[in-house]
Amino acid sequence: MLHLFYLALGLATFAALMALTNAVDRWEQD
Amino acid sequence: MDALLLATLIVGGTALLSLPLGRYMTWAMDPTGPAPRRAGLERLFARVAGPLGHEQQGWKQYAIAMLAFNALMFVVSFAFVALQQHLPLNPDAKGAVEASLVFNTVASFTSNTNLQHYSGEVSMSYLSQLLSLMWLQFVSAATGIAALAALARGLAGRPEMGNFLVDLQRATLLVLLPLALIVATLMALGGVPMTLSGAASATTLEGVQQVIARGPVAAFLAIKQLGTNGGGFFGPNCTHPFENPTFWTNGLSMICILLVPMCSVWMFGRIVGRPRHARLVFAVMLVLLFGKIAVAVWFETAPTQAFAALPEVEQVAGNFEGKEMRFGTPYGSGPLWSVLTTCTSNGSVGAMHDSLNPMAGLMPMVGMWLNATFGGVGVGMINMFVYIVVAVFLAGMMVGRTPEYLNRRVEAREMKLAVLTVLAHALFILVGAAVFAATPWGRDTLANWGPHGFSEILYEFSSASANNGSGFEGLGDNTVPWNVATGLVMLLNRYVPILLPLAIAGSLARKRRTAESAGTLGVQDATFGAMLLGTILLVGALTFLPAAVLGPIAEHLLFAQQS
Repeated sequence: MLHLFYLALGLATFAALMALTNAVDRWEQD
Repeated sequence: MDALLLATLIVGGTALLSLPLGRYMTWAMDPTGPAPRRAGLERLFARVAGPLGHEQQGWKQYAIAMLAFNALMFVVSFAFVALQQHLPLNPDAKGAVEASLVFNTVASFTSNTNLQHYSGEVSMSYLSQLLSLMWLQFVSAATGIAALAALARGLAGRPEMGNFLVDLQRATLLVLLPLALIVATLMALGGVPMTLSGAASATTLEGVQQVIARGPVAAFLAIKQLGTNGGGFFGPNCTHPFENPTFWTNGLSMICILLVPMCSVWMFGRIVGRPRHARLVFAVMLVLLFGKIAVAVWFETAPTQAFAALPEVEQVAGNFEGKEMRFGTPYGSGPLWSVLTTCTSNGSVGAMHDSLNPMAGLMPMVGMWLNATFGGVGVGMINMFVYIVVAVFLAGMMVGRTPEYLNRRVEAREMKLAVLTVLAHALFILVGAAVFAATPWGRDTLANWGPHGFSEILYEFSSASANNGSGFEGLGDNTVPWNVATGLVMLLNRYVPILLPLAIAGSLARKRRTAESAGTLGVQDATFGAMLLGTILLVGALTFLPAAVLGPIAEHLLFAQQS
């Protein structure tokens, strides 16, 4: 169970990085 | 004298070797012209990449593809390590790995850091070492090379930056794999084990039964050095006699540590079409590298203060504590290796960094803080690009002209992204070190108190944020807080300093090309080189000097007062 939590933590970090990429792109388009 | 001669031979020899290899790496990563054999290879890469392999990507698509691929690698490798006790290739019956340690280990190898809170020979099965960790050593290094190629294409003014999955295959199959095969063969010939048999058992002269760990070490060692990964097959890394048996394997390792980061500079220069600019950047990196080597060697020729109170210990030849004598000179495996491995974000260890004299121990930290004196494969040059943007902007402001880089105007937007990149690195190190120094999360894991203890904490976060992976040691770092905090720092500061520079390159690529005039800032003359050097030192000093004063500098002054 704890392993799944840490796996989710890693994936959440990648999701946050993708969100950052989108945010920078939107900021550049403005 | 021996140390500086050795440094000149290793660094100079590798620089010479990097010239033809840099040319080859450019051919591998950025093919131009319709060579028929190469066209067939390119079609194969595109086919392997699937439906996405044929599209040309802008910076955002390239970055998303990179993140998605790395996330997938994280999941697959996580599964291999977490389930290793149920999987084959485990002749020594290695058991389950604790959950936070799995997270830290997989984050570490995905991010090309190879910070190790475990000992390979104790915790990892051969399947985990080969299919999870070594696989990540290849693809994480290839990710860095691919990102640099994309950045350079953007700066060359191409609106499309290439295709990540195709670039990844080029970097893995055409650059890293052939080099790794050559180096692994040489290492095996040099005495490094290469076997899938389990640990050997021997009876000592005293009649005691001894278990001797071994495994596919040569394969692991080659890519660990070439890909600036640095993770050891064994816990003691390259101080272990099976991972670095002789003077010659030691020299070969140091060459491999520097080689691909040096080639990356030449590749960048060729793709942007400015080889003279690359020569200048290379020279600035060399000046910084030799500066750090000279300081580290100088302070390491002094005796260690740890033995100062022991009158019977003679230390006329300098600080021998934590060094491997089989490498011929204590400076070869000590300050020289420690500077090379931290300047390049490699992180493999050839001596005990905790045992270096305080000011010698500061140099590895400086290497990780600046993180651009050759740096990691691909990403070191990307970090240097960020410093170049800052330097160009500062130079433009100083002379009252619009800053330009490679015929494109550098404006507030690019500058904001560059400063964010620099600040992110500082933020992860300084905030992390402050929190762990102030709480039991860090304090309860220290082996030393005072400035040295602070250095241990500061080093760990520096290593994680710079994706270096070396350990100062003296720190009980296999705890849940350390595993989680450094795991997150490694992942975040692996990709943020790739994403933001890619965004800068994408932004510059969209701008109209400006014609060069008498007022254009030349980025290939010595004046700009001095400006770039000054910018790196200024930004580094302003950001990290206060923390250095609390750690190694305070310790040095305390020792000076005592002696």
